Amino acid sequence: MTGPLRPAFHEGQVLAAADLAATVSYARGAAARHARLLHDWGVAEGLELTTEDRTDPATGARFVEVSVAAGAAVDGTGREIVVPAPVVLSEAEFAEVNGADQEPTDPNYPVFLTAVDRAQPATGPTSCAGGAGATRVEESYQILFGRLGDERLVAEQRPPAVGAAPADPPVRWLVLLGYVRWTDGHFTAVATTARSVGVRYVGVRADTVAARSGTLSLRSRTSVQEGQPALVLSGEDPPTLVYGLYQGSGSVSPLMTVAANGNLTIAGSFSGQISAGSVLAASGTATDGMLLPLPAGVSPEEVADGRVSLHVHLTPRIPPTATDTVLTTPAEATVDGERRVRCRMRGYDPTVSPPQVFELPGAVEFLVLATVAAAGGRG
Amino acid sequence: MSLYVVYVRETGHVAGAVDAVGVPGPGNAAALVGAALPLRVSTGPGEIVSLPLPAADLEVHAADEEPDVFADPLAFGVEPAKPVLTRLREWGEEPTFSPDSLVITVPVADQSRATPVLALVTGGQDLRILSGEIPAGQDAVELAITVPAGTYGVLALVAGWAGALTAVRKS
Repeated sequence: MTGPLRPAFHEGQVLAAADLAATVSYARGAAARHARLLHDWGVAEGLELTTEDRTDPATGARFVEVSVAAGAAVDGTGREIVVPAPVVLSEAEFAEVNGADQEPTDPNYPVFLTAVDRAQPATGPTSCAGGAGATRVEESYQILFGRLGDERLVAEQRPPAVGAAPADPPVRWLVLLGYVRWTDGHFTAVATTARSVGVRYVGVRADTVAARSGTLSLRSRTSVQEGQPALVLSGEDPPTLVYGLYQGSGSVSPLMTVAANGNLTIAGSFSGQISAGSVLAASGTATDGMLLPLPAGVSPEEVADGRVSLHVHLTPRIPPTATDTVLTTPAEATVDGERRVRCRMRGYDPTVSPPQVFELPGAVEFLVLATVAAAGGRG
Repeated sequence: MSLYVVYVRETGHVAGAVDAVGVPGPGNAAALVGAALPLRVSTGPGEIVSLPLPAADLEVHAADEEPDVFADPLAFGVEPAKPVLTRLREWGEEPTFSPDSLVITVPVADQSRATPVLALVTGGQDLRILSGEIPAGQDAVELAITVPAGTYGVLALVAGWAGALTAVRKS
């Protein structure tokens, strides 16, 4: 199999149609390989399913008219598909495919876009030698309605070989645009995801992304929108890596910043596994029978499997007595393996006859320290 | 500092309390008491019995600061309709055993409505859970139970009155 053939010309050469076609094919092939190999296929711009409310004059039922917005996509063969103007979806065409369905559980039907070539009538002077074929081919599109579950076909499509030239006519490659809901003979809603399959958008394949300005930004929308997240790698002095949200001014309000010296600054709280050598604390008061609470960030499972060690200090809390003559001492102040407080107070009142000794449930003031040993295997 | 009390859903009595800093809020009573909250009472020298309140019967309430709840949790209650920690009326008379019942008497009868009553009785082995109500206009209820002579740990909870955790002798 040969590689791409680049047309070459020389003075005096008689140009045939094949020579001119080869120049076009060479460029098309290069463009398709670029789109196919340096990008992930999908919707590049627009092509949203939009709705307008309508009322059926015969039944009075409310429904929606669904249109595909103008836009462009690149399919898995590297073929660009352009929809130059909005297109209203045909309910009749949908009914031909799915009209016989009987009230499915999830009535969201996939809508696909695919490339088609449409030969245009010949223009200009005709040849004396005949051959009045088309001199232009419109790289057009077709909108297809799928059956329930056909959205899974999208993932099963396989791209052509690395050096394959663009097929002519184009291979049918399904680009999912979204879903239409069909109820009582009309479209009633649209969706971008159904049965865990959503619209796929174009991507970039790159091991290196480099910025010329010194600042590289990643954001979750095509345009800057207030409140949306961004990741900004800045090579300014000092260099920083910032995660934050866009403000109305277009700047990013930092939520997390990594400085050039490695310092990490976060605006919120930190949670996750405790790093080795760290100590977390909780303190307070608990009555007899209660479980001592664990410091924030420590789970009972971590304590149970030994990843976290607890150090507990208890101080019995001497309760106030009704009279000054009652002597109160702690009879028990401990915590069991379940972290349950066991605290009892013993009272003695010598002024009553006969003198009484009695016991009551008590409370303790506690300090719980949770530690992770450096040898515990946690970083 | 956050104060959390666990209370008996049926009567509103606070059975335990914990306040702490540096801890996340408990999602439910089990996070604070485990499977059950054991209330212990001395029935004699060196003898302690446990009266466990299942976590499934308990609720959690985040309360304003109240230091006295640590001295005597059962003296406080939470009304489920408007969860606020309140001090309950003191109740001087302890439960008694009749030949075939546990008798619980309150100082003042509620003239308008019946008063829910929950009692736990144990001699150290079997746990007996008794429930009933004091009829409107009356000040006592007899909860049917027949036990051999001896000293028993009793938790008596009468809605609106301070709970009693005490040893009761059956002669």
